Amino acid sequence: MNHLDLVYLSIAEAAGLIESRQISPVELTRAHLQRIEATEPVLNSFITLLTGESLECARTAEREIARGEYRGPLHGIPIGLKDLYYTRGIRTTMGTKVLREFVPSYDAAVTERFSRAGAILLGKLQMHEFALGATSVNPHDGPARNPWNPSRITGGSSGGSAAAVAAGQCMATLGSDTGGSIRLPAALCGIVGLKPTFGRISRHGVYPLAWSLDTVGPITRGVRDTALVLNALAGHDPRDPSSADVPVPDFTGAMDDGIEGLKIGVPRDHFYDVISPEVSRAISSAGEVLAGLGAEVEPCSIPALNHALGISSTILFAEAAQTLFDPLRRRPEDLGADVRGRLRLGALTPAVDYIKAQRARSAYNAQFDAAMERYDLLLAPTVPVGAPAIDQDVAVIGDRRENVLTLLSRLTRPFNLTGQPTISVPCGFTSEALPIGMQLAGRQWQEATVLRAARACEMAAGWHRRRPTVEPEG
Amino acid sequence: MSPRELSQETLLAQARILGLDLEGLELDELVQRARVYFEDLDACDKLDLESHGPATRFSTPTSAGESP
Repeated sequence: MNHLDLVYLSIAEAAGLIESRQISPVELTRAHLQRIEATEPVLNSFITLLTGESLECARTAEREIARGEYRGPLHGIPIGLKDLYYTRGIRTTMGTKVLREFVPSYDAAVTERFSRAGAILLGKLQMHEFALGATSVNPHDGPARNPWNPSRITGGSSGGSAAAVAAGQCMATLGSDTGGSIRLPAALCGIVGLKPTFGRISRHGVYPLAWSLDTVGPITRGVRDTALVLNALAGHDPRDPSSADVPVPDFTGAMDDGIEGLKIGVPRDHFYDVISPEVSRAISSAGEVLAGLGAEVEPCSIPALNHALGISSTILFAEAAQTLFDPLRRRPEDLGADVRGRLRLGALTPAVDYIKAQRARSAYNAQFDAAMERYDLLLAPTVPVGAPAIDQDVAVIGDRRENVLTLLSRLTRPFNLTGQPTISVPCGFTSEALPIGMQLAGRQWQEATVLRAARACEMAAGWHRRRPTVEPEG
Repeated sequence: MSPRELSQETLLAQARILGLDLEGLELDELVQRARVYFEDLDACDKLDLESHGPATRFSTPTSAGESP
């Protein structure tokens, strides 16, 4: 097997080969490091690369497996972490100049869990500064570049995490999702991103942005791999007050049981107000695929969706401004202009307006609760357009000129307010050969249903089998 | 009820309360963004807010563990 074949194995495939000792963690890690060396000058996915450390971990994994101490499907699997997950003794920058030399003294809960599962950490990944933005065009580290076309953005804020997986630099990565930061780059990079139920994965040791919205989740190339990573990371953690003490099922358990009889609503409010026709058509086709597999797919209405952006902007910006108030006040010149502008807007939000937004969120969530009584899942587009160019400010959709920054997260933010599990999976390509993603949102704690439907769609449509050819811009 | 007054002066006054320095900034742009931002929030009055308290939980643990 050459190094490209190795890096594009699924985690499930690689785990089988590692367990049966047909490939070694060292061989797999070396293949990924070789892939990184070849593609990183184009993509700029990493902030910190851990070449020596990852090979040392891989050798340890190899020895353990040789002794018969196989830990499970992540043992020996090369992964990456967005650079806001604490890693003891390893620089963690949050993509900002303000914390450029910060070295945590402890691991995040998810870092611990990956380590316990025997995963190999290859490095820390590019992100939008402080995770407060949707492009990953970072003024301090340069832009993360899309493997499908390096002149295009990856989306953000977990842009490096998505690009690294799509390009075969890592088998899985972790993103964080406050307004779409896992699903949005996953969609633009043609891979799978899951925002689990709020409280499903511990946020201990994750640099916060907005406390009532931040969610940790995996990015992979396939739905089964997402379930394998979720199995390793989910579970109660008393160190995180928002972590829920709820049972954790085997998320791979019912994955291939099909979706016969599932009821899927397609909300017509908000999602199709501003969208490119080819993305809209791709979602219609996905609905037909799901219906062809036996699901009952029908349009539905959730009128509160028309207020999603007003509510989420107020909550997100105000909470972020509180979190980052010290750098905003003391070192504004060291923040990127876009982040500084959002934080200033958040800081100038009166308390009564923040509380009003949280009241509106209750009313909004009540409408979603009613919808989720009727439907197992909701189907929606992830991003209204294919990946914009890195320096693009305006997207033209029909006769409308839309601000790219506003456009990117308008379809993902609605599901951060509800906290419900939501996945983005590939569902087609634009005429410019850029990936299109669709969201499936499920009932609270029902990730297994979300994953089952996503898997059924993935297997039927086969979009996940395409790979980008990473080439220099030009 | 008086409408919101969003001007450079009001934002600067508010910033001073917080100890934020906005001097020398493109205040016109901040004012424009603030107008859109608050218009969107005020449109939420249509959502029957009187019947709802602020959200304090962001998922519902009672439904945990149900099989799909």
